[in-house]
Amino acid sequence: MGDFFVEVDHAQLSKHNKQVPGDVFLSKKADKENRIVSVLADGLGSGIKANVLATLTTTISVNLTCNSVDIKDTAETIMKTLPECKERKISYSTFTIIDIDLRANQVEIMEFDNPGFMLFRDQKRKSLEKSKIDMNNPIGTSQTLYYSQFNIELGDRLIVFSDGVSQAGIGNKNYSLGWPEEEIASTVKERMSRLKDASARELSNFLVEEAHKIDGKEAKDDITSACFYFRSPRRTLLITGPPVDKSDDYKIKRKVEQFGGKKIICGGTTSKIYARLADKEINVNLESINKDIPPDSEIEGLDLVTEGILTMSRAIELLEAGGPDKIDVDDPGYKLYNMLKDSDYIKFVVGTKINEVHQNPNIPEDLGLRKNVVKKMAELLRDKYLKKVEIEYI
Amino acid sequence: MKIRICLGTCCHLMGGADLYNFLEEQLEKSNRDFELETPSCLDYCNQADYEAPIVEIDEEIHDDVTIEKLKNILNQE
Ligand code: FES
Repeated sequence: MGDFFVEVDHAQLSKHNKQVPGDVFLSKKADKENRIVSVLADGLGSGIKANVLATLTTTISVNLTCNSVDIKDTAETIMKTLPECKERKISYSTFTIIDIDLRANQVEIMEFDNPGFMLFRDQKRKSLEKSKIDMNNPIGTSQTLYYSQFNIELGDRLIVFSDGVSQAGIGNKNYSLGWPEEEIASTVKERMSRLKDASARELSNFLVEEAHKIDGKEAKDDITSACFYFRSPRRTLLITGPPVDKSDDYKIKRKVEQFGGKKIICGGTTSKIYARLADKEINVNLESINKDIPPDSEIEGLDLVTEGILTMSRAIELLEAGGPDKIDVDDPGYKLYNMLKDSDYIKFVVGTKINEVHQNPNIPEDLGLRKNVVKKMAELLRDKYLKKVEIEYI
Repeated sequence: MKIRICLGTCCHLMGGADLYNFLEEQLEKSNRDFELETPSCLDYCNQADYEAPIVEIDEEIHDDVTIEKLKNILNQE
């Protein structure tokens, strides 16, 4: 995994009383996740027709760009292909194409008639030079597009939005010309200074809500906002089970020490090994006793310490269900579920010593098989939650 | 008196948490002076002669402990 993780999310509200939005945002990963292509398109008008046009635009441009077509050529294809409004002589759909290349550390953006993107770096808005590109549409009308490019820096946030945001409140006393660009930027900036680690989801939701408020809670147009947050990946190490060979016990301590990120140990014996080698105390978390699964504990240097099989099985249940019916913050299974869900990369280190404990005839057999539990958990995280997962056996 | 109730996987499954709940209640009711701990696996459940749940009272190991059994032990002490 590269130095950056790109968190992408968007939020949307349809025009008041319209079911289907005319704005469409689409994002796709390609090239072993080293490339992310996203498009925000706004179809002319609103409702289903606008939605079809915008969907067409996003799908074609995302797929073309993912297949390594240059972003400018993609834009040109779209301009040539899209039908256009005969009366108004304008193209049916505006768009912003964003091509993120993590290997080259670079972002390219092609804009056609959408409000300009905003880049925030170090809590400040960073303006970039845009080059103007003229392209003809099928009936020969010249249209202006803008191309920009920048190198990614850790912590960058890129925000794009539809004109439902920039024209929010239009005609109102205070917003006769809509929501001014500088005001949008300062609102976002203020939010980020209060919520330093605001996620892409939080920021895009926030912007849509603010625009909606300015519109007097009745959206005059579809309001869409998308955010890209370039941050360091959230890494988590989960160690479970003692190594086959006792002489390998030291590996547990070493893995913990060498890992950068959150650290979890699931398993009583494993945590005892760590505590002994690292010379730390184990403190049982009394709040979490009396639950269906054994309590968790605290060991300095670790973010979570739980029992093994039962707790992991509980977390699997939660991952499968997409969360608990009722949140119990003291439930060790919930804590584990939460930490895994919040990670981008999870490294499992699995000790494969056969646990004689689970050869006890009173325990269901599949519970005893730590490897199976880990495998199931890893699969879920990878397939359902799109996490990057690695498993190492010791 | 020092009581350690094992809450490792095996003992928890076999009712360790019930023993803990019971003892905690007793602790509140009585004025006896006991120290309660809940370690994870005490390494007895994997030995053929022992059956979970395991409770250690003043360094003596008791296995296959039920609330009844616990009451008896406490009364004897
Ligand atoms: S779980 Fe209690 S002795 Fe092993």
